Amino acid sequence: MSCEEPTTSPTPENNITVVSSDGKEFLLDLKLTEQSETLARLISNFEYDRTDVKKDPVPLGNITSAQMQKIIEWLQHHRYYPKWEQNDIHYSTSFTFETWVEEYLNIPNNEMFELLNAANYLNIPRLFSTICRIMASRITGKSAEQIRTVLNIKTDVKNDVYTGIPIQEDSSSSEDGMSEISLSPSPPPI
Amino acid sequence: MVSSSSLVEMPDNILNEILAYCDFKDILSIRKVCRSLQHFIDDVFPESTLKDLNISIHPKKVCLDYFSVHNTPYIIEYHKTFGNHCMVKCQTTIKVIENSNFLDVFLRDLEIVLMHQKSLIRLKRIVRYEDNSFEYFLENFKKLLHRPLKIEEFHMYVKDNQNEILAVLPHLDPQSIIGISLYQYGEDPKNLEIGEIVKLEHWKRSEQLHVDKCILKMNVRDLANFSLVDISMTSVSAEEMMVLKEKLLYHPLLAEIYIRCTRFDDKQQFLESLGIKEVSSELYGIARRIWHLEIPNSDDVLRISYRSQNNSFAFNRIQGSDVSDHAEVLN
Repeated sequence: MSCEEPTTSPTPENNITVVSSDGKEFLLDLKLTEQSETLARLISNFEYDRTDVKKDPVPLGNITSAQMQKIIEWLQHHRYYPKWEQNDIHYSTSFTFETWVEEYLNIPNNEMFELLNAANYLNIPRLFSTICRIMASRITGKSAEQIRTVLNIKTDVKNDVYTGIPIQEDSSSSEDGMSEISLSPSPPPI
Repeated sequence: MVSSSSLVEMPDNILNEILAYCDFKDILSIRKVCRSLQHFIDDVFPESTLKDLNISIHPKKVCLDYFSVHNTPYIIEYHKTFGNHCMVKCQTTIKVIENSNFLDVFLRDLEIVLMHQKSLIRLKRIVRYEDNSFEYFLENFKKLLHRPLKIEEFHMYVKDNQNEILAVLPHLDPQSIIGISLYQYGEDPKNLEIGEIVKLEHWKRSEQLHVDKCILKMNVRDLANFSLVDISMTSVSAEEMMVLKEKLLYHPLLAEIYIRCTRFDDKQQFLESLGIKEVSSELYGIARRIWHLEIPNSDDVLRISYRSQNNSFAFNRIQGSDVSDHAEVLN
């Protein structure tokens, strides 16, 4: 599929061109860029929403073409959604997601974190918050060991050979864990 | 560009956002994942976001239960087991901590919970089913706190000594407290002197007072800052009641102050002072005498009702238009 042929048919008046880190050009409908605070600010600064202003391609050196492709998919899906309200606690702390979102984010952890970085860079609050919530939902209720497995993190904390529980260097500190927190499942048999 | 693709490589604002959706227990688990997350969490010190916190103290068991922001209830039980061990039970997991006093284990956990708590707790309830453990808890409560606790509603089971309340209440943040509720531990109502408590900033700032099965020994004037009160008192005097009445005329947020008086020797003097333009009403067969007093510079009216049956007085601020036609407003 050619990236120069987006699903909508933008005219030169209502689109801008962005360039990914690997040099691919994407034609973006101005309506879609409203969801990205970074792009929206850039467009308003350069007055790219005016028809009589010459528009230069916008280089996005932090974002690969694969990530850009994925982000455009998100922007297209949320094209007609109301503006994201950060303070809507009931929505933003919930761990349930639309089916579309679950499928969209059914990607490996490393890609998820890359996408999160891209959403952070482009400042797309709905995507940013959604990925953070998805990550939190994968962490919640798990022990340290399970979190390591889920997120594929190798610990640099020395584990006790017998219990598998991290040895705290500052064990004098009262915050090295609640008695109940250390109820993590038994380590796998050696 | 080299893209970060692991949780530990995320910039601070991303980590903060993810941690904001996790509750306090999760944060303690994440802290154990690896050194860099441990340092991050210790630096930024994410808040724990408890909503309700209940502590119930039994002879050989303490229950700590709380609700997190996601309305997930956590119930942790600390049992004293044979041989002075402590058995900790949380959901389906059980762990025995050998040679540890169950109260000390509980107090240490509570300290960690409260240390991470910066935001407001809606309710803190201390329920007692036993004396010795309860006193041990009270003795140690102050040491647990690293800063005053912000609590909206404070509930506590007491006996007949205000020192128990003084072990907890002064260590809460007076700015946040809205309601104080005291309950009697035991079957029979007991007298409770609260002369020291009424001096506290917490008392003066509180709006609601609810006391069950305790008979308060205090001056009725010290109720004038509350908007909602339901209590019993050992004794009141006409002079104190008149002072209260005057103060309540200038309390714009007054809803109801309801006082049951055990003794009111010069009651007749107070009733006469209210004037003769009273109405009698009978609600569910209970006779009441009601007076309506004009509130200066306001359309509202102070309604005072007296029920001889249980020797109780109620003060309400109502709208002038709600006064029935056959009643007269006194000025």
